[in-house]
Amino acid sequence: MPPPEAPQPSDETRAEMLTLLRQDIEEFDFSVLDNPGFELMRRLTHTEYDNTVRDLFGVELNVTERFPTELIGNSGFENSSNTLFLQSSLMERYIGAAQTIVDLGLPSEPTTDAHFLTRELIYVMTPDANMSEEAASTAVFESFLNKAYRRPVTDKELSNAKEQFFAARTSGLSYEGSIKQVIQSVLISPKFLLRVEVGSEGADSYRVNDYELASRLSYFLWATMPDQELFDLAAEDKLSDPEVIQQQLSRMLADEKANTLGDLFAAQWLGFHNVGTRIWLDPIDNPWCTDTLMNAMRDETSMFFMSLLRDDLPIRTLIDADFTFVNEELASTLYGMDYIRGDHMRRVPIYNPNRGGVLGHASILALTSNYKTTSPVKRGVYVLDTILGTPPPEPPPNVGILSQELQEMEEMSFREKVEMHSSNAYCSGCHSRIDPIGFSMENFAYFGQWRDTYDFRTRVDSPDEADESITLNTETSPDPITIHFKNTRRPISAGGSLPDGTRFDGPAGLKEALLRDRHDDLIRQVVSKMLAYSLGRQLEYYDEPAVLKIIAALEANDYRFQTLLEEVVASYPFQYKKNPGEEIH
Amino acid sequence: MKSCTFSRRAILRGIGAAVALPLMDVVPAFAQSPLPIPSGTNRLAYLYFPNGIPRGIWYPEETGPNGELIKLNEWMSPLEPHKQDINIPSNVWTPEGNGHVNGTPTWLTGHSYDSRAVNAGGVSADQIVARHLREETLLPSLELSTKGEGYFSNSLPRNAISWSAPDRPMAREIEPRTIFDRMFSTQSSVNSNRSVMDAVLAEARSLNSVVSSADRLRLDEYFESIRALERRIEFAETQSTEMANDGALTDTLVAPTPGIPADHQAYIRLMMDLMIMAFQSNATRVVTFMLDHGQSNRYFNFIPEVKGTWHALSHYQNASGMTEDDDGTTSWESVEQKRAMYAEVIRWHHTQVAYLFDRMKSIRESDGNTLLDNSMILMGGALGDGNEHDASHLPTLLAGRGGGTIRTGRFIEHEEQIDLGTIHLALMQRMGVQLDKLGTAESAFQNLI
Repeated sequence: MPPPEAPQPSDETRAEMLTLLRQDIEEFDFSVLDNPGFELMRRLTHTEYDNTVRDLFGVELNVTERFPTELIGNSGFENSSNTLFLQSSLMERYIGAAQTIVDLGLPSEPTTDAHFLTRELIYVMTPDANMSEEAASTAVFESFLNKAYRRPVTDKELSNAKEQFFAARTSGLSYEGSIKQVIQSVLISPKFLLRVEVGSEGADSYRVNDYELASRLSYFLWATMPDQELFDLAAEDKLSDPEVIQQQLSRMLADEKANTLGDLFAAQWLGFHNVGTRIWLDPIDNPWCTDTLMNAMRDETSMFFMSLLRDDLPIRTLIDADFTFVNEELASTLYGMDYIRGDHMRRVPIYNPNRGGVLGHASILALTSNYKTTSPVKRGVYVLDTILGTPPPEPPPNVGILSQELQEMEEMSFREKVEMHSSNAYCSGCHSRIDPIGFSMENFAYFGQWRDTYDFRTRVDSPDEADESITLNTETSPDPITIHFKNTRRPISAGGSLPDGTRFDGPAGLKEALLRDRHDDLIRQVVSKMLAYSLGRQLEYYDEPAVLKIIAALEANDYRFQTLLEEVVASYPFQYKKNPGEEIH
Repeated sequence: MKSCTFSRRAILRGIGAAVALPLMDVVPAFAQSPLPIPSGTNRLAYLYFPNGIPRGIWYPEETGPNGELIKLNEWMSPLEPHKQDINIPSNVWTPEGNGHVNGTPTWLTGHSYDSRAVNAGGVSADQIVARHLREETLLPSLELSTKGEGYFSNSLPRNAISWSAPDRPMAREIEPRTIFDRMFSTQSSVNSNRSVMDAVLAEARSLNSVVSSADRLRLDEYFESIRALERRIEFAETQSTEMANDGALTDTLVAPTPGIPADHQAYIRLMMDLMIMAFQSNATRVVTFMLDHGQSNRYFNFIPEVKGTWHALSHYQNASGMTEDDDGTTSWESVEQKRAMYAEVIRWHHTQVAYLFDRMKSIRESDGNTLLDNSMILMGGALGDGNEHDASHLPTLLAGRGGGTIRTGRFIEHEEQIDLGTIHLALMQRMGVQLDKLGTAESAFQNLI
């Protein structure tokens, strides 16, 4: 746009320009693009590393606790190739961790069940009268290296390992000590730390091999290494068979390791991984806001998301569902459901049309609130950006102006709010699109509790005006003092509208309007996020054909979640790659 | 069981690992002794702070005819005892890369930030110097931060000021004990067994012929990180034990308790102690310390009369407590009150920085100079006025005499804006880096001597 003081294009010109641009984009033939993309070989995330170590050694060691924090860039996911750096300070951690892992996992004098289990997994053979050290150690290395490198070990690698083992033996180390030294080396090898995929020179796209596909599947669905069944299928060259890959998808989804799709993918996409850490209330002033409550809040959304996948529900269920997951504490503290007993999370039906779906989850409502007040702006932006993938423009610098006006919001009627917004042309351009979505969710308090009114408690001087009086003992006065309060209630008007002007009322109305008018955006957003997470990179323009293909398949299958997963793992970028060339940069 | 197979690599032991270590232990023998520090050796440190300042609390209250610092303003008063050791340049700005998201990652690169590509435009000043000096110290540089609080704690651009390549930020250390261990945790075993590392390297090289040429970049990253460790090990191996007898140094080597101190002042001062240890022992000559991440929402309620988060305070023109930056429970009586609290947070940081200067002045080096004399410490941030969110009049303060290459005690006033990059260049040149371009800056700042 020209600067404000320059002549401005007319509304007609703008509309015409927009149509022209849109035509160019919509009519572009994306099928001419043949590029599955390329994500730079990336290291395991700290979570993937811990999970992989768990699967290798059969015991949870969680050695990454003191590793530098994983930082998140534009993709919104920790597993993004362009933010997984390998600095020397991290290398030091890996070296220390390798030592810790063998020390803790394979002590020379095993005492616990876990120790014995790990020994069984690692020492697949033991030297004895009938078995030479060489034969036993070779078996150990073959078994371990196959798993740690996530592909068959080469003869050269095996002989290197044996050479290292014998050198250690010669230097006076015990049999097990020498084995552990080799294991330590493996644990700091790039073949273990990085997701290595064999390359191919040239400009053509190429399929990743079966072992690489096994790792792509397992790190996508499980955030850990492949299991034996995947390895076996890869060994038999069966994994590239579309039918086999779909069978594996079903099997893997049923496994509890797939819960990482809720705990990592959904949590990082929807932002609820921050509940309990960055989203919390001071426990002294809010004794009800316990760690267990916040765990239950996270678990609710994670388990809900997993049931969408496992029960193969339509994507719309994310927004509007007739069930959720709660335990007694969550149900009674935040949802007013007093009939739930016990600490375990279980699936319960929801009869209230306002509550079902993630926009009625305490986790989402808390992370879109300010500390102890709701924020219609945050909630509006959340729906437009996180849920629909259509973020409003960034606010201009010095955003306080609108907020100052929001100060009196709660005491104004909805109409007054809207009018006040439109009175400030500078802000209203965007906020008239954002805020009405948030207003429709105002019946949800800052941790998702339902409310019909805004309640204010103001201090008053005389008992005549008060409708509540509290008597306190204080340190400053010898006698108890009485404080009087007047409670005021104002009804919440939860009318809202979408940016296109569609009007509705309350959360139920919002959900209905979203699913009616913005269903396409919701689908595109879920597809884009899932595909980006599965690839470990941001999507690029050349991924558009894959996105369109997945959307088309979803359309033909009632937009079901398992179709989404099936199409993602079958997609061109998931199975192929192409060396980066000029066209990418 | 204690394996000694790693012993030659033992310098790396215990790092990041949950190895049981005594909670407080004085390092008994200075096993990994640094070489004697050549006299007049210059050190470089950057102290970054986020969220800007309320306009007008940086420049001095009274100056002499040639800019001599006579009296600092009340918000800078903790530095009053050190005014002969500092310079305050005025009208500093960064032409590109402003604000929390773009200004933080480019504070030391002088370029603009591309968040989609994760690219800060260039290598940061500290990393250029670190690379230049990497053969001379145990660690090329140290990157320190305080543990993030509130939103954006794991946002990449808000946590990255040091870039070893334009698209590669350095990881930052937040735990005092880990930092200590990286510098001093060594085992003085004589058993030398390179087999673990050597086996890995031999193996890893074979990968080069397998992966595609693009992926070789990532492998290079791996080899580079290994090489850095190799250099460090060799460095430690070739050192004499002379310094072990240097009581003044070894007596100060008390390993901090693992974990993050709950008291924020104790935390920051401990990190500063570690900076000093690093300089004193020549573990490194380049340190960056982010006093907080680029949009810190930390509560400073522990300062009397201060409430609300740092970032909320920085938007002081709105005292309602109802903005998106606010927590919903804190509000202020007036803009003036909020602005004063914002300034108080800056003053609190000056108090901590005064502690650092104080300690550095108490350490006498072999050339007779104090450690502060032989250092250059640039303190500042990438936002001018936090409320206006601009990048003019960036708070910038330079302490230390750079081994006698900097004339201190001055308010260096400028009518025209000066590019922060020119100051970076002037400091880099004093560390031996002959560069005259950094980001948008095309010459080094001349007015330091």
